[in-house]
Amino acid sequence: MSDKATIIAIAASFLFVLYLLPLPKVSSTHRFSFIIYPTAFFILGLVLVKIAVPDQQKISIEPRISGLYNNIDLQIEKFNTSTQYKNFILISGGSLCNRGIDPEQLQNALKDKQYKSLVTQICLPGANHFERNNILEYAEKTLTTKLSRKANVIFLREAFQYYDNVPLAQLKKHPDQRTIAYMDLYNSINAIITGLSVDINNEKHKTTPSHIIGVIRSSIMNISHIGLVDRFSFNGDIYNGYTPLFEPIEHTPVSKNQVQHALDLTSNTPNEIIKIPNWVFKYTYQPNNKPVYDAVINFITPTLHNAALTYFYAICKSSDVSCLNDPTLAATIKKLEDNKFWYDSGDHLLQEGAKISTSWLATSLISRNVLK
Amino acid sequence: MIFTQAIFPVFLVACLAIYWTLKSNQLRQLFLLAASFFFYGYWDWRFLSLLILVILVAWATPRLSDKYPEFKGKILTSSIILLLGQLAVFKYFNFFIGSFESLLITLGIETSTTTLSIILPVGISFFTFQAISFIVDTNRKHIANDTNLLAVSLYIAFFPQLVAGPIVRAVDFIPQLDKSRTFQINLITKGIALFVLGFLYKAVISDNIAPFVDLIFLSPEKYDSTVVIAGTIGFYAQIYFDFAGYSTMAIGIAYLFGYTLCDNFNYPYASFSIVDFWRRWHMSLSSWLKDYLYIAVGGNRGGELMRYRNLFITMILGGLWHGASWAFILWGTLHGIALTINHFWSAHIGKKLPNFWLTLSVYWFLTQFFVLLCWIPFRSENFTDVWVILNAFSPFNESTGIPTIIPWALLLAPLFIDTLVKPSRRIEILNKQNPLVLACLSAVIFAIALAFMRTEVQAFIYFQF
Repeated sequence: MSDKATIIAIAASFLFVLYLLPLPKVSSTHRFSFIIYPTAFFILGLVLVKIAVPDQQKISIEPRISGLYNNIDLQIEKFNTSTQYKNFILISGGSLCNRGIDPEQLQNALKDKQYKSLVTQICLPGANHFERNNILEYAEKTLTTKLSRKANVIFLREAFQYYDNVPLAQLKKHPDQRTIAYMDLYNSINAIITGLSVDINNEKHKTTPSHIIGVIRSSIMNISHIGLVDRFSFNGDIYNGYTPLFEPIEHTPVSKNQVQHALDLTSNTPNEIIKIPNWVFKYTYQPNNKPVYDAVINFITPTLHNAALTYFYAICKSSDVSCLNDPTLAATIKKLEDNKFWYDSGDHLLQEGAKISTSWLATSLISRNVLK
Repeated sequence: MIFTQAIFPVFLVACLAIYWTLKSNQLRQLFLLAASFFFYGYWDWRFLSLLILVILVAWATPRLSDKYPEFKGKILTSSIILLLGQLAVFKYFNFFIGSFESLLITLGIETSTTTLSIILPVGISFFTFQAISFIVDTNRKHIANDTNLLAVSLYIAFFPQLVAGPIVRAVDFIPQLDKSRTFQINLITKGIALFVLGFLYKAVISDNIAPFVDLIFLSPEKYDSTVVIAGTIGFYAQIYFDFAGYSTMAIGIAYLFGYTLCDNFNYPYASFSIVDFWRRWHMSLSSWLKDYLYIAVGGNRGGELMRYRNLFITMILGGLWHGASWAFILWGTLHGIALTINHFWSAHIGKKLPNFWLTLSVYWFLTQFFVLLCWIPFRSENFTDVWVILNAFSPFNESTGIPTIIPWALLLAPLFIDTLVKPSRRIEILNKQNPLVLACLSAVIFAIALAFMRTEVQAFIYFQF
């Protein structure tokens, strides 16, 4: 807080003094130049701020977000300094993964099986693909430029039907710190194009003009750096993308029928093959164009969410999609039938459930033979 | 809509583009009125009807007076009562009911009164005062009684000054409507420069002081006395930059449309006496109170004692104008007492004393310290907090908090820079500088300043009045 105050005070004083400086005279003003030159100087001001504050996508007043970026830096530094690690596992997802996968436990479980790996989790509750992409791009850039030795990089992508089908999922119509931080020009243009072009069956999640206005507002605030200093986090916290839950919310018991239904879905999956929407590949990760990863694998954090399970199994039927969909997933869901593992009605796991879930992820990942 | 909201520049640029494209003066005025109604309705469209009602009352009063000259006095009085009545209902109803109930309870009478859940319409005090100004100015024959509805509407609803002033006088604004506006680059540049300056005041300085001040005034008892003093000084700076920022932006925006609004601030924290302070602080309110209230209650007539009494009444009502609470009445009362003492001192003692740097320094310190102390009831949540904060100023209070306030004290640097740079110098820069260079400098500073504003929009303090 005091760092911010000092910077603001110095900036405010500087801008004031600058404002009061006598200026050189120039030739007479024409209307055309009166529009062109101030506009150019306004853009110059924006460029100056851009140059002065690099890596702006890292900036968010929410400590979790800047903490994720700091975690990426830290993990890559760890990988470089310790030669014991062979695998670099990057996990991207939403709240299911954030609550249900413990990266430290996963790392230790793999180590116990002699797979010395560094697990970097960048899961964030409520993060749509554009927000994930913002963090993922940083991770990819850092992996490409800062890894000092060869790593076996495995990308684990949480496939969840809601985020894969609703481009502007969780978009705040009124800009909040998070939305402003990830809605840069690239993401904004893509979000609008995608939001308008993706055919969504569910009317509830349809992209509306107010979503588009929300994107534009956030984008304007991002591009013009509005509140940049306010968003800047000076504390350098580390966040490993895992926030365990300890107490269930009330009145949401998980029934035996619900579990059985989920198990039925894992064994009797529909014949229909669902393709992962193109935009998800295009704007979130492009394995063919970015040879960052040695393997890209889709997974779902164990859940009783029927639509999510149906979607996951349907995309996994496609021959070009690699998934962690072996029978151990169904067995894990069976293990989680007790009410004590769930935070809500079968969507998000409590810490006890996360232990089982993470243990499954380690086993399933090993069985894929992608680790070194 | 607030000037520092992201939507406002879009609204402003769109308005300017359309406004200057229109050729006829009347069309421009019509468009500006529509834009002003949109600006006000953006906050809550339901209260547009109230604004329109005030406009209609102001417009109809001189016309009815002309038509029925025998009832002129009654029409004038009724209109002013009607205008003050709607202000009383929206702003003071709950305060008076609550105070009456407290009085009955104090007297041991059990009672059950009803307060209403009334939303205070933004800027109600400002546009009501402007409407009264129009009615009185027409009555005094300063303005024509048959001023058309469009002119009256635009005078009262002109969006740059609609919600927080400056309180423009009919006699200063309405004649401007008769002249055709031309796109003058010098005026536009001056408008841009003032807008950016006001933006720096409000968005970069005031809004960044606000969180610290809010935290301390929320529960002052939690903090060390040094921190509480720093918070009070913080508010001393915040309210100036907030209100002067709004006024400066409003004046700048008016220039962009080719209109001139009166100044509202003239470096009040450089004043050497309370009388001087009120000539420099919220100047449009001071002069309004002087012309329409102080003179109405007697002014300088009736000797020195009556003059002091009238001044005192004016300041109490001026305090009440700010808000329906005893804290504002106390604030107005304190300033009324100080003004009375100041006038007495100047008339009988001060003129016999020499003015040199030492006495001037003492005068400045006493004035500013008094102003600072008076901001405490103005900002505090209740009288208990007022006492806690005042206690922090006691010399017997121990404190250890100096290190924590240093970065925040730095935020006062702009206040000193602003106060120390002579007004004449700034005017000279604005007037003599090449417009293009000034516009370019303003543009680059505005772009940089955006990074230093807060993401969450902070309402202007004076919006609540």
